[in-house]
Amino acid sequence: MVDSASHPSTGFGGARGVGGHVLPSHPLSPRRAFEHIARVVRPLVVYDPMDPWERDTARLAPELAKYRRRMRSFAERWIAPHALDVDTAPHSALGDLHPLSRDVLKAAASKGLLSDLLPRPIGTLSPRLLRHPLWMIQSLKTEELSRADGGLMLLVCAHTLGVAPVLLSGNPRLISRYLVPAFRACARGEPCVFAFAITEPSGGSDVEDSYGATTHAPGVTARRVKGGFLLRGRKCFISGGDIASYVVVLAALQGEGMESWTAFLVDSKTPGFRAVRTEMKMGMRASGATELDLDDVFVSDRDVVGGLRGGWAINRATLNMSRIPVAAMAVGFAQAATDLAIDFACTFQLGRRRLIDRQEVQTELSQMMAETSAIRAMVWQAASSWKPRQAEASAAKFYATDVARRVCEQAMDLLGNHAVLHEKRVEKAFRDVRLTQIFEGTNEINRLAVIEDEQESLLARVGANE
Amino acid sequence: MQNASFEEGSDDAMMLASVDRLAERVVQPVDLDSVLDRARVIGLIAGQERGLGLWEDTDAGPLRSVLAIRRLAFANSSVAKAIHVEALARVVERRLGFDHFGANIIALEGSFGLGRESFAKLIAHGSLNEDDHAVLKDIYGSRARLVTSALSYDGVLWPLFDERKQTIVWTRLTQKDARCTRHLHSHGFDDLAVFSIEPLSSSNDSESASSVRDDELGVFAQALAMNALGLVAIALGVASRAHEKARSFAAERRQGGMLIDRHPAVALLLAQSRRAIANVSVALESLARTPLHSRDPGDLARMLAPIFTLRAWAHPALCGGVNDALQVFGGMGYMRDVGLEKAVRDLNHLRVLAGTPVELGLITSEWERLNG
Repeated sequence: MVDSASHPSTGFGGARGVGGHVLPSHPLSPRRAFEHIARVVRPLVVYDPMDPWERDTARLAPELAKYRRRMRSFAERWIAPHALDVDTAPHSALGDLHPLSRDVLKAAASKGLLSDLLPRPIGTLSPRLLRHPLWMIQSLKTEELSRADGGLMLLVCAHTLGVAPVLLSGNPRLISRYLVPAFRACARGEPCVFAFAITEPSGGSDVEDSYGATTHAPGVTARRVKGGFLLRGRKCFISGGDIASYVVVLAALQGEGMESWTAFLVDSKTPGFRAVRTEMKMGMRASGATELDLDDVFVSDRDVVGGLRGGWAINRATLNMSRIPVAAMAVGFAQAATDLAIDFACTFQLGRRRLIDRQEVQTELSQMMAETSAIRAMVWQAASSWKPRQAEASAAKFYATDVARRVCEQAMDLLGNHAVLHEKRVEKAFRDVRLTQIFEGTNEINRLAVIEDEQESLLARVGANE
Repeated sequence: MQNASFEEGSDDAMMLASVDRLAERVVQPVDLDSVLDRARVIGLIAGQERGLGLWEDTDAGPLRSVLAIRRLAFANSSVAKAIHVEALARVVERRLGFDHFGANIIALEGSFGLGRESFAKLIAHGSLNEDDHAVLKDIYGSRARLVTSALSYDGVLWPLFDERKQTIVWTRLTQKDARCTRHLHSHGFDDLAVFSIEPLSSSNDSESASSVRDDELGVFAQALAMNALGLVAIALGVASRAHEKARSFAAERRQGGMLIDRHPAVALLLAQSRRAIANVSVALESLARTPLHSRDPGDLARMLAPIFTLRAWAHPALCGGVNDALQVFGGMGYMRDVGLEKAVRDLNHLRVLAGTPVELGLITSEWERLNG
């Protein structure tokens, strides 16, 4: 590469070119050179100033591209302006939302972001989007919202995790009894939030891993009573559990083990159900990680989700779908960190040069851009399948979140000592992305989930070599 | 903490025993002012006379200082950082020949790190071109600098680039000489503050504040060396504590019917965390046995290069180790109650202070180039 400092014709020195590169107007620039390439191959070469985000969007089907643009617009209008204020606000009392968070949730509801799991007229999903898997659509949403803020993203998107088991039950009566009125309320701007309660104080990984589940003593049990069940026990780290109108709670039938796990749809107003506390977290502070106490909470037979002893299947199927959007969250944080680093590099002046004019800064930025693009490609590939395999979903989740954390660290390094400042937002992207390596199964559990899913093909190889 | 590095009953061993007693008091959130007072009383922060305070042992190799800071950080990272900053300011202030103590902060880092290759040339007495001058004026000029320190701010030692002499000169800014802005909600070190400090006047030669030594660049390099060793020592203490917590948790928590430390996935996380600590510990102690003389001008880069190289790999390694320790806790690790998330933030914070790994790499590479 030409050293711009000793080669003024490259455009060094301020507002002209980026240091070390010939200007696009230079005869040796690809932009100029391609003008002289044979007309017949000209469609195969490109050099244009199109924004990378627009380039990616243009690769999507038109209806997905439109949806992606809508999500970015919502994120920039409603989420990004409030991210720092909500992040530093005092810890909310149980069930209370920061006024700005409440506004965001209401806006998300009225603009259809809480009901885009079903098509119109029940939900708000455009019929054209039905050509695409739901997890692809949700991945586009979580990436854009995460890029603006992790906490407010989770406040909006954890609801999807609560709705998914109801959809996966395939039970039209449950859907019409709960989701239809909930989505109608959302359309009126009255958020009706669902949550999914998997984790128990005695085991986070055991309830997300089949092998671990074989020895796990269920912490929440359901005792048969006339007309239904009484649920007793505790769940922890439940995203949105403090503000949810309905919580899908996984519980074992009394006297039985994890094989009996059953999903119960609990109205949070039911006597005996209460949120005990919300955690003080490292990041994603706008969304409460809630401990729930169930003290003989009655659930009617008709509110069993996915059948008695069908909870494990519901749980695993939900995770196969939800882990892909979690990977997309990581892409959003990586993109946020990359964008912030680019902004800093383009505006911060060191000596006579902008940071962006320095070669080491350019290579750092390129690495971050490439890593972010790579994990986005992986997520979009996993999300494009109508049958999300556990191996693909888990691999996307652990790989994207690990890479995204590295990208956030690299962005912090690029900002140097300025990275520690809250207002620069990069440190926040790091705090937010750190959770994605943990929830929806730690990355270690997700690595093992890949092997679990590939077990039969692996055994076939074992057999072939014996 | 065991003390195998010094003979029992020696001054060094006794000072470290005092540090242990102090550290015991600061495991829990503390009144930082009272801890700093106590550190001054026991001589950990230097007084007017030479003693056994931190960074007073550079002639023999600052092993005692490094071990003391690590122990403090094991108990409380903010206490360690605050004591390190003030102790360093006092020692440097005395070496510069100021007639009385007036600064408890030292702004070793410029407006954006250290100044990359231009800094490397300055330290190695390489030839500075116009770009270097511009960078060094920018970094070590009157532009605002960020400092992470205790809340109480008396005065700050302020190295400045003297363009004419192509060296560093020192001034001392009192509160009335500078505009000081506190940044809220910074990434790590919750008990400390991140200040943006900016001189009110661009004058470099305030009579009351000027240093009286000739080898101010040497003192600058020595201060940078002490600071770098101190930052690694803090990181090491924090990482050691995080590892210990993760190890204890893994020995109690069950998953899949057995304790999680029996699961290879967890065992490897702990091994990675342990490996980072062990490697950094060996390297740090080895470097801390080397005297930090204010040497001949040509030696300054040779003194700093191995220390900067250590920082360039030690901080990322320890950040990785503490993240591994947090991961052992699963969801609990993300919650403030456990303390692991704070360890991660503190280590991230340290990594980007006084030269990031990228910048330190550029600097050491430039020194290698200049020295052939």
